[in-house]
Amino acid sequence: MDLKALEKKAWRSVFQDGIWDIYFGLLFLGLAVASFGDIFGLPSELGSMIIILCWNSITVLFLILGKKFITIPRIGFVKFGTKRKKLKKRMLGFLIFNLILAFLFLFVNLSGIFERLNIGGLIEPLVVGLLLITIPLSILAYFLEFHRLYIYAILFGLGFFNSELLFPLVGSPLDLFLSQGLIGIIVILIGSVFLIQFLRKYPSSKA
Amino acid sequence: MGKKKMTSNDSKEEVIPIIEIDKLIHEPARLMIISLLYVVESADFLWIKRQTDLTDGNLSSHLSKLESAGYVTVEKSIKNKKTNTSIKLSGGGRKAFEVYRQKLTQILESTKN
Repeated sequence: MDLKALEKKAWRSVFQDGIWDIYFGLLFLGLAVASFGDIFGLPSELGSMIIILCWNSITVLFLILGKKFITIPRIGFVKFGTKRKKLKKRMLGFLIFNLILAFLFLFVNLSGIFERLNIGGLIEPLVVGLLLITIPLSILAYFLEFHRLYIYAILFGLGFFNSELLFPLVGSPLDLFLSQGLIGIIVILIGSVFLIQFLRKYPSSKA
Repeated sequence: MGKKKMTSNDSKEEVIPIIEIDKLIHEPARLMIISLLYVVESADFLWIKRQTDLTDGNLSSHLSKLESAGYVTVEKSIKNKKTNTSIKLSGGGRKAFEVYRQKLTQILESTKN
């Protein structure tokens, strides 16, 4: 009797509803929508921040309400043991370490070293995407044992790089909207497929 | 250096009579329920039902038996006008399951020889 496998199977059942996929897709789509930050007549940076803040609040609300009103009534509620709590602490440690690395990179970038070394251009958005998106999301994927998130981490991480490639063709802010928005929509669609499968498999229970 | 040969006396000492196995846990449905509760902190009725594919009546009956033996604790509460049943493996239940696993492993090991 493999209890570890049983615990893992139980844990992974958390992600079968597709709600986490839709959540991450929405978060990324929010970055694309925020590229139209100047629609309020505010400076674009401030407008983008307002859009991201509002969008992310709605996204988090979607995750909480989705779990409460879609998942729990269908597959019930479970509290996982101390092993998962320890993993959560370790995950937070790794994420803080990654955040420090990201700040270090930003500091080095601001100092102009990359320009002096002539390695700006396409390398910069690639490193930014890797440090700020791919690595933290991969850490989350590892600790959450949410394997689809590794693929999303790579796709999301390439978003800035893709927008840099698209910039000469479509200009700004359409470059950001197309590169990040498209990936966000693809991830939302994947999540929706999982959600439909989940709803079919587990009809609402009154128990 | 060769392995120590097992004599008939040694094997007799290691053999645990199958009668000593906890029959309450040994029943497949209850074994599934206890195994699941062993790897989580607590779960509600619906979650166990989904994981085990047991019917409401079946699960309820097995839980009653486990509760009577003191292996699980069942707490009922009202949440949003609905009854919520939270089930947890008790300290005694956890210990009983560990003993069960140990004995079963020993029995299976002894049958290899």
